[in-house]
Formats: sequence, C-alpha cells, structure tokens
Amino acid sequence: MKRLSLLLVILIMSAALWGCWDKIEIEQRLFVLAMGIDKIEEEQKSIPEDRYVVSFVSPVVGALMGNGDTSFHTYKTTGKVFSVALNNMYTRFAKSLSFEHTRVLIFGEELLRDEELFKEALDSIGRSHEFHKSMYVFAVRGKAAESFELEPKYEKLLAMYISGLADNYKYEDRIAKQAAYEMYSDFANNNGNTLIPRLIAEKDEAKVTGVAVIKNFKLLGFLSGTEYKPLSWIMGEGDRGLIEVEHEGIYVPFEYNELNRKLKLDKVEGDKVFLTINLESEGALQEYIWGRKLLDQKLLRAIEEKLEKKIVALSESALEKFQQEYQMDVIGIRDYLIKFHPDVYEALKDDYETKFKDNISVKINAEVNIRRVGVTE
Amino acid sequence: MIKSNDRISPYQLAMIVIMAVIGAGAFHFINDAVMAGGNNSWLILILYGFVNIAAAWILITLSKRFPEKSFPEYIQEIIGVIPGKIVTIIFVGYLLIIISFEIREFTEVAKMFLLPRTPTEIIMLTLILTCVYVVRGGVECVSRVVEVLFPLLFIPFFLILLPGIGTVDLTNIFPVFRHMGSGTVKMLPQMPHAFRGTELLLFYIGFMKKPQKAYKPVTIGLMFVTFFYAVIILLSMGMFGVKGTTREIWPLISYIRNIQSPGLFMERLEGVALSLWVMTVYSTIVLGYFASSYSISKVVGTKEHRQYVLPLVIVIFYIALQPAGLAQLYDWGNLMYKYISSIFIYVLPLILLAIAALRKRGIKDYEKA
Repeated sequence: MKRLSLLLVILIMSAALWGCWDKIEIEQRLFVLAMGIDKIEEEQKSIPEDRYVVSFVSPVVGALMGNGDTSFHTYKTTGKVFSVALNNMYTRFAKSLSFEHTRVLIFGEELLRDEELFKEALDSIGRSHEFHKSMYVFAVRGKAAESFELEPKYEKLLAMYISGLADNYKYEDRIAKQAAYEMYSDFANNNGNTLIPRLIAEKDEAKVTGVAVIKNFKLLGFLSGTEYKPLSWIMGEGDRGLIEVEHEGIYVPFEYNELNRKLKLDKVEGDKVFLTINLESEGALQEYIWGRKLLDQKLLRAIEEKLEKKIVALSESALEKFQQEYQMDVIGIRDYLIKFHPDVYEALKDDYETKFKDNISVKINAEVNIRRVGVTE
Repeated sequence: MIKSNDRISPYQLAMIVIMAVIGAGAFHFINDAVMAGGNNSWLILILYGFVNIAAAWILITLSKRFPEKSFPEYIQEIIGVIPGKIVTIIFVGYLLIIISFEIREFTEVAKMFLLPRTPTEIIMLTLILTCVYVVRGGVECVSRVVEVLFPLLFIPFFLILLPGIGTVDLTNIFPVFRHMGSGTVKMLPQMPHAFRGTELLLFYIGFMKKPQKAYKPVTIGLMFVTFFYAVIILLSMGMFGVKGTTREIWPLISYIRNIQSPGLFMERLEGVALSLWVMTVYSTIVLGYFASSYSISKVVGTKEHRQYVLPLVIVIFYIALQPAGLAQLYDWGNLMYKYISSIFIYVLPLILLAIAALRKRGIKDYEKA
C-alpha cells in the first residue's frame, strides 16, 4: 500500500512537471531587429482588403559568426489589419516571431499621411505586450520597405547601423532621436503632435537627419537637418554641435557642448502672452587660420556677438515656421504654461493652436561663451 | 488560546503590514490614482498615508484591549458569541474574495507578460497550493516567510527601478497643489484600494507578546508603504506624463519595459520584476489565507486550523475563476475596495472599540493589568 501511494505521488508529480507551455527554443525564434510599416499599393495586394505592408529585418545568426554573404534577411507581409499582417507570417515561416530585440521601427510616408491607418498601427504596437517601446522610431520619404533594401557598407546588421546613427544625436544636433515611448507620450500629452526623426536610405548608406512633422497624427512635411538644428535648440534638446560664423573673412566654427534653454513668462497683456527663450551655450572655437592669434578676449567677444546673432536669427526663423506655418507647438510652451503658469494656460486652453499663432509672442535671446580655443594660441 | 510558541515580534509585524498592504493591486493602482488625483496624486497619497496610520492606531487600540487574543476570539467577547461568529464569517468571506482577486489579477498580468500560453488554471493552482504549504505551518511560519521575503523583494526591486530614473522628467509633477482639494476628494474612493491589508492587523496583533508595542512597527510599516506608492507614482508620472500614465493599465510594468540601459546587457527587465512581484502577491495571499483559516477554526471551535486550509483551495479557486476578464475583474475590484474594504478597515474597528468601551470589555490599560 505504501509503495503504491509513493508510486502514485511520483507519477502525479512528474505529470505536474511537464507543464511547460511557453517554452520556445532559441532556434525556433525569428528575431526581428527592425520593422517597417507602409500603406499598401494596389499592385501589392494579395487580397483586395489588404491595407498594410509590414517588412522585417532579422539577422542570419550563422552568417554573423562566420563570414557569410548576407548577415540579415528581409521579409514582407501584407494584411488588412496590422496584427493580421504579422500573423500571416506564420503561414510562411517555421519559426515564431520574436520582437524582444526590435531596435528600429520605420513608418512610410503614405502611412503617415493616412491618419486612420497610422492610428490603428500605433494602437496595435502600443497595446501588444510583444513590442517593447524602447525601440527607435523613424519616418522615411517613400516606402519604409525600401530602406530595408540597403546593404550597409560599414556594418553587418542594418538595424544596429540605423539605431547607432540615431545614437549620434549627442554629437550633432541635426540628428534627432526618439524612442517609441517618447513618441507615445508626445501623442498622449501633446494632442497628437510630435517630430519623428527622418531616415534617408541610399544604396549602401543611410542617413539620419532632420525630422518628419506630425500634427494631429498626420504628416505635414519633412524638415531637413539644418532646419531641425535651431528647432532642437529652442525645444531644449540642444546637446552638441557646430555653428560657424564668418569673422573678418574667415569662417570660425564654434563647438558647443551644451546649449541650455530657459523659458520664461514675461507678462500677460489682455489676451496676449509674452515669453522669452534664453539660449545659453558654452564651448570652444575649433579653428581660425594659420598664423593668427585667437587667444584674445576682445576678438573672442566679437566672435561671440556674431554667434549670438546667428543663433537668434536661426531660432527665430525656426520658431516662425512652427508658429505661423504649421501652427503647432513642439517647443514645449504649452507644457511650460501648464506646469508653471496654469492660470495663464486656462485662458488659452480652448483652440490652443490658433491662439499659439496669434496670441503668443516669443522673444529669443542668446548668450555664447567661448571658453577654450584649442591647444595653440 | 494561542500556543505559546506562536509569537510574532514587533519587527515581523512591520513586515506583515508592508507585505499585506502592497499586493498585486499596486500595479494597477497607479493608473487609478493618477486618473483621480492628477499630478498631485503622490502628495494626496502621502496625506492618505497619515490618515491610514491614524486608522491603524484605532485597530491597535482595539486589539490591545484583548491581549493574546485575536479578532475572531475577542469579537465574541465584545458583541456576543453568535453575532461575533456571524461577523467573523463575513470577514472570512471577504478575505477569501480578496485572496482570489489577488490571485486572478496576478495571473492576468503574468499571462500577459510571462506565460501567454500556460492555462490560467494552472498558474492559479500552483500559486494557491504553494501558499497552502506555508499557511499550514501556522502563524510563526507565515510571519517568518514574510520576514525573509521582504528584503529579497524590495532591494532588487528598487535596483530595477533605478536605471530608468535618467529618463524621468520630474517637472511633470507641476503645478503642485493646484486643484489639490478636489483631487483629494476624488481620490478618496481609491484610498482603501491602496491601504487594503491593514485590517489584517486585527488578527496578527493578537499573536504579539506585548501588543502595546505594535504602534511603532505599524507606523513604520505604513510609512514605508506610503513611500513606496509615492515613488512608483512619481516614476510613472515622470516617464509618461499624467495623460500617458492613465493610458497604461500597469504603468509600472511599462516603465520597467521602457528602461534602456547603456550597452545591450540588462534589457527587458519586466520578467525579473514580475518574478519578484510573485513574492509580494504570495505573501499577501498567505497572510489573508492564514487569517481566514484561523478564523474558521475559532468559529467552529477547533484547536487547530490546519484541516481547513486545503478545502479552502477549492473555494478560492472557484471565486478566482468567476470574473470574465480583466475589465470585469477591475470593475468588481473597484466595488469591493470602495465599499467592503473601507468598512473593515475604518468602520468596523471603530464600532467595536466603542462597544467594547461602553460594555467595559477587555483591559483598558495593559500596563496596570
């Protein structure tokens, strides 16, 4: 009897230990490193209801170890709904998709122009537990799928290459970087307005520079890197970069290591609101000309003044573009007013976008401090 | 009577308060709190923390009158045997529902993030059956498990939260104090949701050798809980903003998922966080489970509580399977916390204390006795 019960216990226990429903071997996983979403075109449709084209990049693990020809494969799938497009992959591949290591998410231009499709895809990615939101987002002109056709010259993995480019935002302000969760909180807290970094793919090279302007979940247009740079200053995202000015016929590049933005409410007159943006930067001059001395406070002061003027002029035109043309507040004025002057914001709350254009006037000041001039005099 | 070796120390009592109050609900609670209290919710929560410390003192004052006795015993002294037993049975029912709720909520979260294809029933049963083992061990076993789990849980948990601080924008808490009054009122129904679990003190103080020493550990425990809630609300609000936080069902898990550490190692920390979270869910369940099986033994009048532990599995399992899905679970949870929990935390102890004082039951001053 005792033996029988012991046997029974062992049997039941071993039955309980089978329970591994969620085991997927690593060979069974297809790691998606980059993903692109496009609006479908007529000739791509496999059934007439299809609306999305989703493309993937996943690494060929064997080729990464040795010296295989291609180190990644690209896949394409279509579907009426975003998740259906993903699931359609299972009919064609003997592996399970894994988005744990997805680093790049690219939106095609046509998708961004279609508000409904874009919102649906956004919700699908935001809702699903499979996608984590620390991946970087990009927008491309044309099709996202096309950018996966490029074969990077310098790196093996396309996704690492692109995300690495975005990581260079800390060296040059023309580069924008946005993680998916930042985009989502922008959409949630800023009425569906955001700036998505722009990716340009060429044959064997990619470029990350400038941004796509999204207003109310719809693409308004693209900004080039040089247009984005002053915008990043007044957004308070200036990190590092170079500005060059002409001084006595010589071009002097100034490298700033920080560019602090300070927003301040000056006064409220009737329904007009006056704000000041103070830009303070510190840095070093990079070059001058052979034989001329740069270590001279008077000379430096003159260059500083020219730099200040240039910064103000560039920033003002960037601000002007967003205030008058796009009528959207990406600079964070709304955020600032809500947080620090809620009473002022209360009056602007309804129909903020037009009031941003008409009632808010912003003055920009710049202060440049040249601290160093390199190792030669 | 309580067996002489079944004692809990003041330190263990503090751990019991912390682990009983912080449960599976802390994930979703952030969403509810920020929804009602906006950017002041963390301040309001600290305010509520003090209110609940005061409420807990009432619980202690009540329990102190009846040294070496816990709730199911002294309630019979206060309001009579039969009414006392009825109230105890209602309390047990409430505790069982709470346990089932915790189990179901945790199962839903785990199924979402960790075990999408494992059947719900299996996750629940393994969790309940593991609790059974500890609960059968008695109060000493329960309190020691809780004591051991506390540092194992919170030290790594705070460490996991750390790397995300770089992305947190603390200006999201501004404007501070604006509309705080209305927020305090709006968030009031959420208060029992956060501090549910303090009612278990009614049981556990009875196991202390010197119940008058309960004030300090309970206060410290509740202060820790308040601090913990304030920190997780601040972090979620800092990362997602007020509107973004209310969009997430479990803001804290999303916060952990978004953490990006320099270099590729240490990513996707939500798996680690959830496996740590099993411990707090586990201890919350164990504490409630023991209280209910102990109460049943006192109602029936048996010496031991062990024989009631295993049959309760079926009851808990059945209740936990009732909600149709997450939406219904949270609907029911809201009703339960708002109305039933608040009765047991705030109203019942006060009434009992008043009756005990009027009928002169128990000892008024423990020192003199």
